[in-house]
Amino acid sequence: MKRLLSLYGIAFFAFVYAPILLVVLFSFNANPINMMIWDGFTLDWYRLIFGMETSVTESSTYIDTTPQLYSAVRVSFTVALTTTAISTVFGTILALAVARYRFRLAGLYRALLMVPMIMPDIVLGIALLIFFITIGMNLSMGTIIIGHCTFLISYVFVTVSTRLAQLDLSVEEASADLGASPFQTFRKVTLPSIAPGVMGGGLLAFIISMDDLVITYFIAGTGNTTLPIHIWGMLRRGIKPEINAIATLLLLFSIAVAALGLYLRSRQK
Amino acid sequence: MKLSDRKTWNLRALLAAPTAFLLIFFFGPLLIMVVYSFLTPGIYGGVDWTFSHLNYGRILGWADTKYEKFDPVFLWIFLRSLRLAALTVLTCVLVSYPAAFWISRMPKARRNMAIFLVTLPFFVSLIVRLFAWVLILRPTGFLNQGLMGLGLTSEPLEFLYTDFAVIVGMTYVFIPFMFLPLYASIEKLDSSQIEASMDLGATRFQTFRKVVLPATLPGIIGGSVITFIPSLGNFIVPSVLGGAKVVMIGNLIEQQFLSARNWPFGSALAMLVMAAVLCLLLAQLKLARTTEERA
Amino acid sequence: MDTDQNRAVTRTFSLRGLTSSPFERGRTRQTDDVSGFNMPAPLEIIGAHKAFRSPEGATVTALDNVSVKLAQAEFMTLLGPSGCGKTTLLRTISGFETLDAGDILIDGKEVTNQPAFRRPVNTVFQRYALFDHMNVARNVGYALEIAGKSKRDIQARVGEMLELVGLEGLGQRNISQLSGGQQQRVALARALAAKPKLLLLDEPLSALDKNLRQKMQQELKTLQRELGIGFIFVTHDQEEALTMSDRIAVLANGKIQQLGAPDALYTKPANLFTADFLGESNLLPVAIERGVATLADGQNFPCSNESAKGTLLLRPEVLRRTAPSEPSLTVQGTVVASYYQGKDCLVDFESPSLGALKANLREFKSLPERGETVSFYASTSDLHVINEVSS
Repeated sequence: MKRLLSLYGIAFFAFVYAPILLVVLFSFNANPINMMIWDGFTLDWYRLIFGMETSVTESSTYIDTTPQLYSAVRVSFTVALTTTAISTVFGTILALAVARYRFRLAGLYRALLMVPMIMPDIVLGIALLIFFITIGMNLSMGTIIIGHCTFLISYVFVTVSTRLAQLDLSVEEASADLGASPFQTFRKVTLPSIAPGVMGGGLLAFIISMDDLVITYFIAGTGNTTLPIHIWGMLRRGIKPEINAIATLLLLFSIAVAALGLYLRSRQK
Repeated sequence: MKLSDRKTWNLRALLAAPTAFLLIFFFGPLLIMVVYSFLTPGIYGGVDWTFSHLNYGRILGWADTKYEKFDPVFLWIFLRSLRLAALTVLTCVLVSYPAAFWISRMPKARRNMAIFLVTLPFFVSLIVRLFAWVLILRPTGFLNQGLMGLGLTSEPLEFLYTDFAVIVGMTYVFIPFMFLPLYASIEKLDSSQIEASMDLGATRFQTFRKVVLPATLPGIIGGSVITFIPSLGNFIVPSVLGGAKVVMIGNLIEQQFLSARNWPFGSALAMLVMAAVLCLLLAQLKLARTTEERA
Repeated sequence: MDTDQNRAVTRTFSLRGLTSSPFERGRTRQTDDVSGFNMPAPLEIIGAHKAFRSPEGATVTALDNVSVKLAQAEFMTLLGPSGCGKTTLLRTISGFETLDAGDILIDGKEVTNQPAFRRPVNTVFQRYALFDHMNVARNVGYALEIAGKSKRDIQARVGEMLELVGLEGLGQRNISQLSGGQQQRVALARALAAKPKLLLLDEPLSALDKNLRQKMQQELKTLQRELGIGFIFVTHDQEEALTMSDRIAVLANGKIQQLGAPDALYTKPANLFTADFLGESNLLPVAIERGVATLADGQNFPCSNESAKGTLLLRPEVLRRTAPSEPSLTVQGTVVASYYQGKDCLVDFESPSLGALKANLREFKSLPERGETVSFYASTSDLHVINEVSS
């Protein structure tokens, strides 16, 4: 029974990781026509992305996408960094207010902040689209940022709240008792104590913002293509080996950010 | 100033900005969407600001005018989406449960590593993960090559652009959603309870049915709800893996906005999804209350 | 302005530090005479009132017209069951709760509406509330860091404080590396580092195991005498209260039921609540007429109480098996159960005329057996009559 379970466990991890590893593997395959047939190791697909000399023929690449790819990366980073900053500040403030003050609306806030997380993203996407058009706001990077913040505030709120729940409320009282003003208490006790939660929430917001496809798709307008939308567009135009290399780089980046989060969390303990 | 007054002012100052932001940019859009679902679509896209219930009538059966006619296909697509989402949930439970059980019985250090590994793909770009499945499922893909290599089939089978592909894709994407609540409830289960059940003469199967399953039911329900909701309204997975053949409600909504340009009707369809989600959450809440009362 | 000056004064400390011997600096206790030193009381609470709204919407009175005045260098314990208002009282002194009505004076200065960080009192918290992102030294020096002291001054004072609580050399440790007892000591050192006028302790020993708790009780008491500052100690543990306090305030339902020295409270409680809450007791109704109290079984003894009815407090340990030479009461009954407890034994017995009673015997040859008929004697000088009848 135990052996059967272990065997299943291994199969489970194979199911989870095999597809991803396959993409990585294919990104080094020299065969430009059929990715399934191994035709030797190559870095050509990566060279292509970075605009270097390759032996790749034009028929096996997306035409002229490199500048667009760079622009998509730039847009994605700008959006994700701005979104992370805003939603981390707002989410943390809300979590602190709800956890620290006994007020009648605290329960309502907690319930309402769950709504953006369970809202199907297509619903939020079209609602935002209608809203921006109705109030006459031009679709831009700004609308993407606003759209991402609407639901990422909740993610940060939940992460920071979880951290706050683990904390002993009385450390803040202890600080006040020892003569620290509310601001000093916040800077010297509260903030360092919730820092892991704030950082965790921020990283989560960053990753989700970088990866968001549906909401961005509705409110991006033209000329503000983010990386996921760019890749989706490539996929629609047919599968070329170059996309493996882009996917692998994106994969490495995601894993690096996740690992950073894990490292920060372990260091805080 | 009294202390309590000062606290109230601090609180108000803190809450003002984020509250305003969410009221305007989250609840505002939802409200406008509700309004839109009761407006008349303009003939060349856009809207007429006159009240109409026919957007709902087209979906649910009472619309019968020159432009707005009931068509059962919308309900049919909606039911289909419910079915695909339910199947996704079921597959997710079946795939994740034994794995969660296995991991919960590991030594602590390995356990944390395993959980990290299960959740890691959640951080990997969705589009990359779906692309991987395109590579596997397409006619010249990995799966067909394997099957033909083993001599199980002589020519490539159609995996891509089928319901099967959509369910596999959604299961793959939502495994972390199901796994974590499942794992949380399984880990709480004390292994001495299992031993006690066996000690009292129950077989493995009886123990699972009478002890393990009831104890982990909250996790199953919690995981099912948070998997079902994003599955129901999904439109990325069906558009990447389902092609044009597998239309889900999400695709239908997208079409209303980006090609058909009938925003009021699209809003009504979105309201249908919202209604389904709301019903589900209320049912879960009620279920949680009754189990709480029993305990 | 007044408050800022006050704060500046109280946050200043000299490097004189503390004497190392507990005997050199011992002060005589000034339990009753507050004005004797011609100094304001370290703490005075006048007519404190505080009500909360419970989650169900009902109003709960936590403090009901509480007035109390602390003597110089007094160790006062707030004792009572949970929910009696003792923690609320402590929190209004530290400034975490504000009073609905009434005033709080610390060292003669009104602080009623001052926030906690401006009050010259410090607290040892129940679960210590140590800052676990700082090491031991930074925890202890926190108040001085906040007050803007120089690094050298802080370091010197932290060293002194760690020595005082017996944690020399542990300054660089992380909080998580300390045992429960050590954390307790850090919390104590931290609260004392800025030389508060008054130290508040919120059930600080409740998380410790029994042996350590007893050791800390003695240490705290010694420390308090040595420092010569007032301690206000909250506990629900009556033995702890009796052991450590100069005076105990027994609280119930937001009111001070009785305030007095431990022995007075134990032997001469003013009301049924105090009698029942402190120690074991047999409570027997008596009728009082012309200076004589009469029990239900007709026995009587002299009694100076004014009321017509009262309750006799008969502590189990005043009952003896042999009749004393002086005037005494006799109670007879059948043993229901007896328990051997090492240094003494406890006997539950049933008297036909007085009901169920208990006796605590220090001297016994053999344990009375179940069903045995026994007689116990209590000399009338050990009796105390309360002017209150249980309803």
